[in-house]
Amino acid sequence: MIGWLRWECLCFRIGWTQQHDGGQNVQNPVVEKLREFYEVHRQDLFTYALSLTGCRYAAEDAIQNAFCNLLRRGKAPEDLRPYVFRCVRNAAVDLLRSTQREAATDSIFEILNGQSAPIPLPVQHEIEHLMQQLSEEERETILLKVYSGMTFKEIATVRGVSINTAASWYRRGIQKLQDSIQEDP
Amino acid sequence: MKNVEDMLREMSLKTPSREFEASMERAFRDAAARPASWRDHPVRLWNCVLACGLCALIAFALGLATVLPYALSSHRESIVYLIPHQGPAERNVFDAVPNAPLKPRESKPWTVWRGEARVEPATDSAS
Repeated sequence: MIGWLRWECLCFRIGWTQQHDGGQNVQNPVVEKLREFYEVHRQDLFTYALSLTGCRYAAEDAIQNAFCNLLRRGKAPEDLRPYVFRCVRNAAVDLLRSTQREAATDSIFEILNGQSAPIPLPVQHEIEHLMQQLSEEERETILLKVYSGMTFKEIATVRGVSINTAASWYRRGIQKLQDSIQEDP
Repeated sequence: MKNVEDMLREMSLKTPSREFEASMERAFRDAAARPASWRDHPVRLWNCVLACGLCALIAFALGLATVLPYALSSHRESIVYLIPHQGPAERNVFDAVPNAPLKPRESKPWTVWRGEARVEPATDSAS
């Protein structure tokens, strides 16, 4: 018993976690989990943060702040996706509040011109314009659903609303876009 | 006419900058290399408090379970013999003379009280 306690104290002092393996210092599982999540979802997170802040640099700052807080906290829930997106959202709101400025209006879309563009240039501009016309809730819900592939339950968790509310935001936003595009083909 | 969702998916999105990628990579590396804090240790302070409390509770319950049958039984006088040198006769001696040396227990075996009558253990002379 005393021997085990001394061994535990020694491991603790030199900074090993419980999963020490043959004397090798293994990676923190929470850090690894967050890193893997970031590798997979970095584009989705950036798009979401950019839609919230409207500024590339503020979006990057928000993501970095959110992940620094998560890493410092050292805990990660099982269902990581809505949790991290919500953290990024909170960080973006905090950033805008601390700098006391309104969200800028940078678009999330990279307008492509030429042969590589999958959609004609005027249509791209139109979609970009229409997305800016949507309300903040509708725009966010569409981004999370279309680009991040989230379920309405996850979107509801991110936004802190009911599932029905998230679904109605999405349907209303898509309907508005559809109607505007059909009006002006 | 294409579905608006398909059109949105075909739109190209802005990507994070290389500097940002590098800074995120650095943040993850620093976090992985950071030594464990005492807060990260699996044995928390409240675990120790809980264990001590539980042990104290068990000890109290065991003590109570030992003493209570004597205290509640009809032979309440017997309980004084559970405490050495604190019988009714000896207590007066200790009260009268402070710091008196402990009086050894009488050589005769346990005296058993049965109700009002005191039953002396059988001795060779009596038999």
